[in-house]
Amino acid sequence: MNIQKKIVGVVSVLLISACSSVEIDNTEGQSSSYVDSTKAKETSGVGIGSNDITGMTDKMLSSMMANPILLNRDKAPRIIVDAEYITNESTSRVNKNLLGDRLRIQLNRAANGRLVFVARHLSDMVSKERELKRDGMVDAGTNRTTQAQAGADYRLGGRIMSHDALQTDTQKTSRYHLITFEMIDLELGTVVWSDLYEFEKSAQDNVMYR
Amino acid sequence: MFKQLTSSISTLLTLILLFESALVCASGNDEVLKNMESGYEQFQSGGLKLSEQIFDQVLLNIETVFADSDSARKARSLWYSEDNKAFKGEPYERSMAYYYRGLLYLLNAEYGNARASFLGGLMQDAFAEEAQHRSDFASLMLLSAWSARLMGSDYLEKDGFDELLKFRPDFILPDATHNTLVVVETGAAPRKLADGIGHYELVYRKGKGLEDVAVKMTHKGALLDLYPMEDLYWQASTRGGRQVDRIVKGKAVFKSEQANFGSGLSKVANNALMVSELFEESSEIALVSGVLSLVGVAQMAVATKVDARVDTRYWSNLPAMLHVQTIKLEQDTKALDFSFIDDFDDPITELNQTTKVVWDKNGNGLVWLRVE
Repeated sequence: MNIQKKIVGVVSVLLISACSSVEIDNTEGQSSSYVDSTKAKETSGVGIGSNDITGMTDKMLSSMMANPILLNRDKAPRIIVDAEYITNESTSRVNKNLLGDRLRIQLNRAANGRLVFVARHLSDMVSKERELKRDGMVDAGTNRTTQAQAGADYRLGGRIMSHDALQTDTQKTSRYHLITFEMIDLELGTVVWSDLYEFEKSAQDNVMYR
Repeated sequence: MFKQLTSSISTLLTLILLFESALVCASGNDEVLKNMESGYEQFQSGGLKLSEQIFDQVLLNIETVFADSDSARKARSLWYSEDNKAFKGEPYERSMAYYYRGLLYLLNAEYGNARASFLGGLMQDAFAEEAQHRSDFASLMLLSAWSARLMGSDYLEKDGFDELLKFRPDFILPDATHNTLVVVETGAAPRKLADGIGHYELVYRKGKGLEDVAVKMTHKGALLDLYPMEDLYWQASTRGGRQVDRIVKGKAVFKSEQANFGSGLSKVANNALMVSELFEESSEIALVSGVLSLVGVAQMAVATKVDARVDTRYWSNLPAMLHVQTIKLEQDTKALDFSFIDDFDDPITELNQTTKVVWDKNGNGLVWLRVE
């Protein structure tokens, strides 16, 4: 009898207990911390990640530094390294300035005077200051005065391209990226240096999202 | 022996009770859904910078592959409904997030990223189960081809427009002189509903709002038709089944079988109890029937806790239709006038409005309007 009472009690509680509580996600927070931008992230998809940016600019830096046309001239050539002529034809959204700026700054540091970098991306700023100087609004400064801003000998161009593939039965996606970089002679139009960076990523979302 | 058996059953029930009490009514993370809706609100109200940031966050979440996550694991289990998973939206919703981000890129004259966004949206549509409806989001094809034109890539533009004509052969491609894209959104978002016993079947219904309207714009006194390029209800409802639907259906079948089995055992127990007094071993038969009854109740208790409901959360401030057109405008054009015609060819004059042309730094225009 005692057992029966227990059973009835348990069953009653089981039947009347309802889904009544509310779940609170009380997972501990995570304080801000530095992560290695050269390593792949757990959260990344098949697009271009920070490790791809650092990897490809590091590779281009080494490749450019080994180029005799650019680096072994008696007179340091003037070059423009920015993202203005890097076109994104891929299916990945990317801030192209991440490539142009990182490459220019790394290259400038490594070249140590063997290349002269023309800041065409800031030419508006230079123009405004030159105007102020010539209008007499400000003095000439301590540097020399020139007829015009610096013209460049070479400029960086390139393309970001991708090819996507999807396995429709498993919904596994993969994306191949090919990023090309070329240094163009701004008089002749010839290519004096070129290199590429390529990688492919694949991923498959949890079945709950398929 | 019977006492031992009864005790074991009692223990089992207690364990079920403890397990059941650990289950809670929870719903998954709605951050992406909220961001989709607030990103659109910012876009509509002109908070473009904020809208960019919000949609970037949305796309980051969409593109992040949840190979395994607690919420997805939970939603996959028998005891939790599908909406316990973190919301990423169905393909048509994800595609629309890429669409808005693409428009924002166009406004900033970032044509490459605009094209990448529109193509990203098109790829979300590629996940459709039904092959004939895979990647048929024609408006995204037009927008990606238009972006390719603005970025100066003839071959990508041609590829894009060639693809578009496969799906919309009657669409007249933009003239080479056109410099402005016009997009008008009408109607209300498609709705998601749970259908079937146990609400395990996801069905779509048209949004409640403006339906079947034609859009016209006035330029230099001429009335020009906009092309009704996309029907979001069509996009939502023609996708076919999802892989997750098989899991949800499996839960529903399990739930039904458990309930039926439990109910059957209880009936057997009742019948045994009724006839037990006819036999000498009536007390033993009564005990067996009690045990059977308990097992039946346990089975039914399990069945009640199986949650086979599908996820019916949806992006509620999407439109029903996208109407598009391209046009050549003078750079000093400030605005265009729009009028609307109902399905009886009668003008809906109360909807008439003037919308400004937004020019980017390269002199390309974008006109965007939402009418609900």
